[in-house]
Order: sequence, then structure tokens, then C-alpha cells
Amino acid sequence: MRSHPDQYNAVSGSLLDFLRVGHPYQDKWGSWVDWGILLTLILCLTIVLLIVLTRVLYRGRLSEGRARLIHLLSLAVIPLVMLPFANFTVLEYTKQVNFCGSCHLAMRPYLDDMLTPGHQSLAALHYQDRFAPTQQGTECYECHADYGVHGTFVVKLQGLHDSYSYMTGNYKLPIRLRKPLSDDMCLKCHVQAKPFLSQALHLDKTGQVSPLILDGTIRCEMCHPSGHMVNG
Amino acid sequence: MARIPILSRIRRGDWVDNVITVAQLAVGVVAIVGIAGWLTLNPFLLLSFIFLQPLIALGIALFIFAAFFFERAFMFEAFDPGEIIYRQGSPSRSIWLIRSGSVELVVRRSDGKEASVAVLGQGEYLGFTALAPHLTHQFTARTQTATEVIRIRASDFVSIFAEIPEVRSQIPVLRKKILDAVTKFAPELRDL
Repeated sequence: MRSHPDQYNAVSGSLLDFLRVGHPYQDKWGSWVDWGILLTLILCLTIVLLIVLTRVLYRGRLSEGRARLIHLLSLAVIPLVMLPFANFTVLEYTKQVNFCGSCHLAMRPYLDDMLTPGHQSLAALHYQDRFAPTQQGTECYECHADYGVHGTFVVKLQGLHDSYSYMTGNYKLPIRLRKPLSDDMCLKCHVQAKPFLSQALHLDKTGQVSPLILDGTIRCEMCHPSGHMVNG
Repeated sequence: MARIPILSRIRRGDWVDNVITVAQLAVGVVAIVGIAGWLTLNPFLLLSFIFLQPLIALGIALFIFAAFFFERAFMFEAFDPGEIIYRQGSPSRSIWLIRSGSVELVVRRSDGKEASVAVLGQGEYLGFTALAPHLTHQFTARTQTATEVIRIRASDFVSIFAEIPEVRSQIPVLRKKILDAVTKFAPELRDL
């Protein structure tokens, strides 16, 4: 298991690092994401090469002869094959903590908090105790993305905006959440979990989850305030 | 195909190449963003790659649309009076057989004035420059009346020329007709 910060850094630099080291939370190269990246890259390169080939060899007669066969490959068959691989790969890769940490200057304090042994913030506890319900190393995504396809879409769209802001330098430190994290983000995992149900404060008199928690009257952050321990 | 006016109008010109170019641009942009994104692991490029995926769908749709109109060995085209079939200087890739109507060949001389080279009618051919590689049209072909033509791919015309004596016999007649007109109206083009 690669949980040490140095190993985390090793895969955040370039594709060559990624191909050499592989998926950051697997023991060795060869996960679905690793293969997905490689396949997507090969298919993208093939598409570009075939398009350039037709522009050079069939200039002015793109709808004739063998050019049509190349179009069939570069504009239909390969893109159709690539679509599911590419989407799966990018969506999986962009769930990773190391992806969120790509904006080093803005995200570094949050990652340092999460990765530092002994830190007691919710992010550190979730990351270091491997609480991500679906896949290790996706703790940022699991806590910040709403449920379902819509949640994934929205969080990726926000990511696009944030990464653009970071790229253009249009941001202020320390970065802030757009709006407070919804309790639904916590409850989607915790509400049926044994540790949650074992706390009497979470339950009503009948032993069910308190409706005050479910309807948002009592908010998670009232008792668990420190999502991240970041100065500033 | 001439029975369906809309299709007849769509089936003319080189716009299919332009549609293919747009499709290539759409798919190519996504592919390049994908390559750049994975090579640099830049978060903006990787997320853009996801949100640009509709361009791939657009490219595929444009390709399928264009494929219906890919140049065939024979293609029927219909023109109204005064329309241009091809322009002087444009790439020469097809030969046209006039089914009905009449077509005037016009040359623009070095002084900028236009001169009529020939008027061709039913059963005659246009655009023989397509038989020579990389040659552009030497004349502008403009319809005089409502005209229906059959567009023949140049490479297929060679087979037709070799196998059908009636077609072969027309070439010298047409060539003489055009050369006479060029000599008379635009002698500077005589050597082309």
C-alpha cells in the first residue's frame, strides 16, 4: 500500500512517472486506470495521425477512395471505441486524491493535513483510516461529490472551473468552499454504519436515526467541526 | 435522384469535403486535448477532455451524414439557369455528362474580361482537366438553362472511356471545339 506522502508525490508529476509507478494506491502497475490511460493515449494518437494522414495524402479529395476508409476509422470506429474507455479512465483518475492535489499551491495545505500522521481532522481520519467507501485514495471525491451521476457531473464541472482559475492564477489563498458541505455528504455513508448507530446522540428514543439529524436541524459540523486543519 | 429536388441540390459541389474537415476538427481537438492532458496530467486539460466529448459525437454524426453523400462513381446533379457547375481555377476532380439543358464554358482572360469558349448540350462532357493530375479547371462552366448532369469520378471515367467507344469518339470532337474557341477568344491560354 502506498500511503506515504513521498510516494504520493512520485505519481503527481508526469505521465512517465505514472506509467512507471502506476496507480498510486495499487501495489503494482496494471490497474484498470493504468491500462485505460495507456489505451486512451494510443487511440488519441491514432486518431490524430490518421487525420493528418488524410489531410496530407488526400488533400482536396477527402471523399474519395481510400480516404473514406481512413475516415471510417478516425471519425467513427476509433472514437466510438475510445469514448467508454476515455470517460471511464478520466472519471476514475480525477477521483484520486493525487488529482485533487494537482493544484499544488492551493491544495497543498489540505493534502499536508490529510497525509500527516496524527492529525485529527475529519479529512485526515478519513484518509488515513481508509474510509472511502468505494475505492481507497478517493477520499476528497467521496466527501465532496454529491450522490449519483448528477453529483459526479457537478463536481467535475466545478473542478474544471477551479483548475482553470488555478491555471490562470485567478484565485485567493487560502481557498474556501463555495458553500458549506451538505450533511447529505456525510450521511450518505454514515447513516447506516454501525459506529454511527452505536452513538446514542445520533438516535431517537425508538433507536432510529434521529429525525433532527435527517432533516438538518442538527448539523454534523456542530459536533464534528474540523473538516481540515489548515492555518489561515 | 433528380426526382427529389432537395437531394438534387444537396448532391453537388465539394461541400462533403468541408463537412469531413469539420468532423476531423471536432474529433481532432478532443484527441489532441486528450494527448496533452495525459502527457502533462494537467487537471484543466483532463477535465476539458471529459466535457469536450460531445464534440466526438458531433464528429461521428457529421461523418455519417457526409458518408451518405460521398462521391460515387456516378452522381446526378441538377442546376437552375445561370448556376455555376465549376469555376475556373478550382480543383478538377470530376467529369460531367450533360443529361439535359445547356452549359456555357467561359474563360476569364488576363485583362479580366470573360469570353465564351463553347456551349455544350445534351450528351456532351465537361471537365476533362480532371484526367490530368493536379490540374485546375481552365474554364468556368455556367448553365444557360435548367440543366441535369451526371457527375463521374475521374478515375472511373478512364474505365468508361476505355470500354465505351461512343464516349471515346466524343473526346477529339470536344477537344477541337474548345481549342478553336480558345484560339479565337483567349489565345494566351492556348498552351495550357
